[in-house]
Amino acid sequence: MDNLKQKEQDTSTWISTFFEYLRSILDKYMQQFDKSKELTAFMQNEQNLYNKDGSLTREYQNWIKRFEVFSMDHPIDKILESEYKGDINRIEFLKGAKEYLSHRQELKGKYANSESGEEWLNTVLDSEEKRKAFETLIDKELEQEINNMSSDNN
Amino acid sequence: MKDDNKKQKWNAAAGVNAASCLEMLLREKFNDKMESLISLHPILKMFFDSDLDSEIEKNAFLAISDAIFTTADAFTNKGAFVNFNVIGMTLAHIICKRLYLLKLIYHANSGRITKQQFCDLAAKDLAVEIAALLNTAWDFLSQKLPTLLNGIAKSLSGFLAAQCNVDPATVYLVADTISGVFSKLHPQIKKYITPEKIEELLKTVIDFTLTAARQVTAYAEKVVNKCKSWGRSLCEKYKWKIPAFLEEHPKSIVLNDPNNELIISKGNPFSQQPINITINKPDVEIEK
Repeated sequence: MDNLKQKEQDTSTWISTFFEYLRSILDKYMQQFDKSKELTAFMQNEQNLYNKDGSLTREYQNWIKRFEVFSMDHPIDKILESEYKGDINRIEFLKGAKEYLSHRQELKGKYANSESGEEWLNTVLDSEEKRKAFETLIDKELEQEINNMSSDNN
Repeated sequence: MKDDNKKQKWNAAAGVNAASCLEMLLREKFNDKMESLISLHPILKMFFDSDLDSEIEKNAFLAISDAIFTTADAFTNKGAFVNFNVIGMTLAHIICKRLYLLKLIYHANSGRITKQQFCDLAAKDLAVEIAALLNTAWDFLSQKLPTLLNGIAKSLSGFLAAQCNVDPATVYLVADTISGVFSKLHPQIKKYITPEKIEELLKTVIDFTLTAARQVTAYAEKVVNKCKSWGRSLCEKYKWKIPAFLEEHPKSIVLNDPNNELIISKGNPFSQQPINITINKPDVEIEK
């Protein structure tokens, strides 16, 4: 029980530290935006942000667009690197995180238009019976794959 | 050559360790605290409200990855890690998959994307995440992994579809997209699964799937059961000892309990209008 309490306390301490650090990084980043004070003030009032139906207000959308343009011209890496003060491990860490994000973006672009078979499939699977049969077939295929894996290995 | 192998092994182990530590940290302490995260800073609010794949999003992923790396106890003993590049990739991967799915849910609930788009995007993102991870940090895994993941991904897509009332054609399409990713990766993954690797591998795959499934569908348990059943079949076929965790009952997920739900509301995350996708609520409040 004591261990559990200790764990909860550690969790709470870590979350506080994490939030504090993250807020400080984002504050530094935000300060580089020339309209940061206006944007912060604007966002403090929830009514400025959302219409009654939950959609974004036109003004809020414009702010997001402006900040998006700013983000393109000012990657956050520079702020993070200044925090690292030449620590090689942290620079390597950041490099890895950036590489991953770039690769992810590249893959997303590559598979963004992979919906060309949809129309064809909808034509083929034109009844509930066919669809059920098709779902069963997918399961059979999986079994077959596992069997193939086994025979490949043997 | 021997040194290269040793280095590679350490790199891989560091990646797996980082992933395990952070999965645990995020699952217990971070993911359920998103409400606090949104209110922490205007940039994070804009992260959720901006378009999918925005530059704001990329900066938020980087900042949060860095903040976890800098503050988490899991990294106190930084000297234990051989390759910080791998840690960066692994951490960014975990952050991406968590935050991106949460953003998708937020956009679906506020009507900015349809449920079908949500289903497609979530499944595609799963494929992209697996592909990006395999292609970078975890290239030590077996050439058989794509087949296994392919099966799991198909199942996950199926349950996603069932949850979101999308027709099987779309399910197939999503599964096919995922298969496409794996087949592209296949030649790059050179080593076979060994009996020693299988437990670690299956745990990783199942944990990954559970994490993804938990956030997008109420059928996480079924998905995990199916994954475990595949894991058992695989071990039986190879005549390997079945790891004990494959026999355990999956972690239960509490649904429809008003005291155990975080409601992501329409448009404004803090308004009182309920919506129909929920995730577990934290049981410990955050000190601000």
